[in-house]
Amino acid sequence: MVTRPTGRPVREGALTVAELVQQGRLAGVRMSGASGRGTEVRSVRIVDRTAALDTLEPHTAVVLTGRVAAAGWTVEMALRKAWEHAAACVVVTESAGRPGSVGALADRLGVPLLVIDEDPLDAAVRIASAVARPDAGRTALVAQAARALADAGLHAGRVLSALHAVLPSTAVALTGTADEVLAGRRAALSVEGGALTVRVEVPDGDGGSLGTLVARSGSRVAGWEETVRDVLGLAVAPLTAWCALRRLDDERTGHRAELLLRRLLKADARALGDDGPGAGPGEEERAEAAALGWPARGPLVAYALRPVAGREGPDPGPALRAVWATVGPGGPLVAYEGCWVAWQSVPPAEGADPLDDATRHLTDALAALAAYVPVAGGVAGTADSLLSLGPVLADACAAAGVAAAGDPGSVVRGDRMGAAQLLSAVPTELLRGPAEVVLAPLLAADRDGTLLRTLAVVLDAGAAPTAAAEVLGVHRNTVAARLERIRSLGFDPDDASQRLALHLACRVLLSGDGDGER
Amino acid sequence: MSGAPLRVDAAVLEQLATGSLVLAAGAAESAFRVALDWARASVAAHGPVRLLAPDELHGLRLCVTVTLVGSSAALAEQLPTGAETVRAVRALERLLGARADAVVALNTAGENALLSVAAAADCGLPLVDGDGCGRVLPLLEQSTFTLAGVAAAPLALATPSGDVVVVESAGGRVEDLVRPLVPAAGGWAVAVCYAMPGAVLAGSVVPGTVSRAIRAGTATPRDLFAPWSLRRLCRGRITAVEHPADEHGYGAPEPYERVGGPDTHPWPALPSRPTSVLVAETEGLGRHFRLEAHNEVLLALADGAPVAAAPDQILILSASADRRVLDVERAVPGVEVEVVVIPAAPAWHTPEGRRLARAGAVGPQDTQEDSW
Repeated sequence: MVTRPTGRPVREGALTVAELVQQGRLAGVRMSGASGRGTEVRSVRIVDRTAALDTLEPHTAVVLTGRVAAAGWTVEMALRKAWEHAAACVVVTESAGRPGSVGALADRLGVPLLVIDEDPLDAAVRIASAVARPDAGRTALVAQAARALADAGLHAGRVLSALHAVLPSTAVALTGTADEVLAGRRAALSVEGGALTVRVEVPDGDGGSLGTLVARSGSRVAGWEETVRDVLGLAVAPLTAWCALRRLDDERTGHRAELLLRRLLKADARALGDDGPGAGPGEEERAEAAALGWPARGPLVAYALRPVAGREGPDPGPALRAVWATVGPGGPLVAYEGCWVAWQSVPPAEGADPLDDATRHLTDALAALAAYVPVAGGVAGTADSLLSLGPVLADACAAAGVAAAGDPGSVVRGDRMGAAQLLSAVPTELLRGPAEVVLAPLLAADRDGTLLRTLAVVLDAGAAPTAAAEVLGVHRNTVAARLERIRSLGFDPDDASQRLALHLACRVLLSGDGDGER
Repeated sequence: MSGAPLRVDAAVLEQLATGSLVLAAGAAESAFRVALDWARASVAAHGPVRLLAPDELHGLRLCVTVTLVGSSAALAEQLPTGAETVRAVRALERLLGARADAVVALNTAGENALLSVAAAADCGLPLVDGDGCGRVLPLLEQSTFTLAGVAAAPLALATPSGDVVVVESAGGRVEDLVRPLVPAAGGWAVAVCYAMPGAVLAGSVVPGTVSRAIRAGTATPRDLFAPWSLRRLCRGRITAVEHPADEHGYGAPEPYERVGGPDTHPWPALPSRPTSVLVAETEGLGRHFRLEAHNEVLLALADGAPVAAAPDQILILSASADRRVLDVERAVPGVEVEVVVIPAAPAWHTPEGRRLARAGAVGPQDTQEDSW
């Protein structure tokens, strides 16, 4: 068995009639009697006299010329003799002007009748060369496909068109990971009949899968599947490149937007401090923002999105941007200060709280996003114009940071962040070590955690023992006694210089215990 | 010839007239009526014609063959005088220096069957029960006599205007010589030819064709074709009629048309053209039949394999109760038909016979070498 440099075996079987037709070597060929197209062609015989039909060999392509090709009855006799001698097919030129009734006999006998547009002798030569090197024909088709794909360039639709042009009687589709058709013909996914189906995986260039190329052909000829697979294989690289290119483009767009937002906010800050006429700094940036369709008319509400803690994966930016465009409440999604921010013009508030609507919209959007990227969000507002967007975005980012400490999909309003919410945003894992050092004497004396919990509640309650006793469900004197013990260990909740550190340390240490004090 | 009438009288003549039309799908009615009137008048004037069986021919010194040449349409326009047959026979007798002992028809179909009766009656000679074809072929030299080595020439031609032309040919050129004479003669003429002794005629004649036509003239429609040994090819429906327009699929145009044939179309009727009649068999194997015709059906293919070919006669019969022969030119898709074959006389099935039958006929030249 011959092997290509790639090591893949070459099929050495003889050419079939179907391949002869599919390879497009015969100009304008039409076939009747297709039920016999699986027959192998091993030789060619040019016949110009009916007497010669008596000496046909099996598996011969019988090319009719002269008088034998001229009349319907001679072609019918040739078909009959071909049938009797197990010849592969009968080839006749169209220019003889014969009516189509001969095709009915070809269908009846199951002898392929190939009607061509060219000179029969030329056709005979081409068939002979195809017969001599059957693999050359297959290679020619693959080469043709390579040329067509090169011409198509990096574009999914054009790649699929090129595949359809070179693969006769074959439907091809590019399906996504959820089996939805991204490009090509839906017929490729049909499950009817016993036709041939070939599937080739298309990677996305980042180690993932872009989808699958599915080809469905009416032909089940030996070797055809391999040819189709070869041709589809040629299309994989352009499709992967197309995908990577699109992603690169998307990323570049994201970076450009990020930069523009920074410049815009910086310019706005300058403009706020500058009392000069309007045509000052930031004009260029505002024009660019307007060109991108960024909302500029106040009041503006700001959204910020942030992956929940511990769930940060590879850059979710492209996916977020893509999904945001369809499910988000509106506006661009731009990377900003570790978050992705967006803002939206809302109708001037008349009694209603614009942030209520914004929270609801963002909650819906995050629910839709959850399947792709687990994020939490914050909303803040409202800004009167782009000039005051900076602080509002900062609020939203802060709120998103708080929300990200919780579950995916949670939304926090920038104007309702309590101290507890702020504290809960503290990175507890990082601070657990220092907290244990700070409270080490207390922890050493505190066997059951009572002292730590008492200290935390007292600090939460603003150092008021009565309120703390209610929370803890003990007598006020008990709280006072525990406080005395704590003070004796060197920790004073009333000492302003200690209070923040103590409170933070308590939070950090208690956060892992699932306490319900928040 | 048991049961065959020995004489053709007025009554038998009518039966012969009817029977001679059975296979003549395309005969011109007016020309046929003229020929019938001629034969009626001759029999009425000279009495019944005696029929000679081929075995009675031995001992006869000179037998002559009679046929019409030219167009049957012209026969209907330029009426015969009734003297043409006698003048032609006498001219040949003068040339050969012998009296004719019997008359034989070149073929026994349509006008030619009646002409031979008229000729025999006019000359007071017996008519041989047989002919030189057994069917109809378009050329003078396409006869079993030619196959037996008898030359058509010398030939005497009598025209309705009273002219007599005698043609002597070194051989093989009779057709070429006679053809140009026909228009000058007024479109048709009586030809007397193939002069030969009775013994030679007995060995080359297709026997019994006159009595066969008489029997067919008395048959009921059901067994109309009983006198011929029909072979049925198929029963089916015409699915298409095609006229392939190729320049070399068929031979040269007809040399010229002779009147009286059952399958020859009277000149100058519409020029016939190659026609393919496709028939889908409605019983048995459901085969795909293709009938290749030019004037008459020359070849029948079943699923591409030849099942019948000229010189056997391939006929398309309508499948209705009257079983009429359907002219190829009148075949239309959708008609239910029966395709039958009437075998040609054995002489035609020799290689020489096939060659002669097809050489002047309308089939492709190279088909001579083919198996069919």
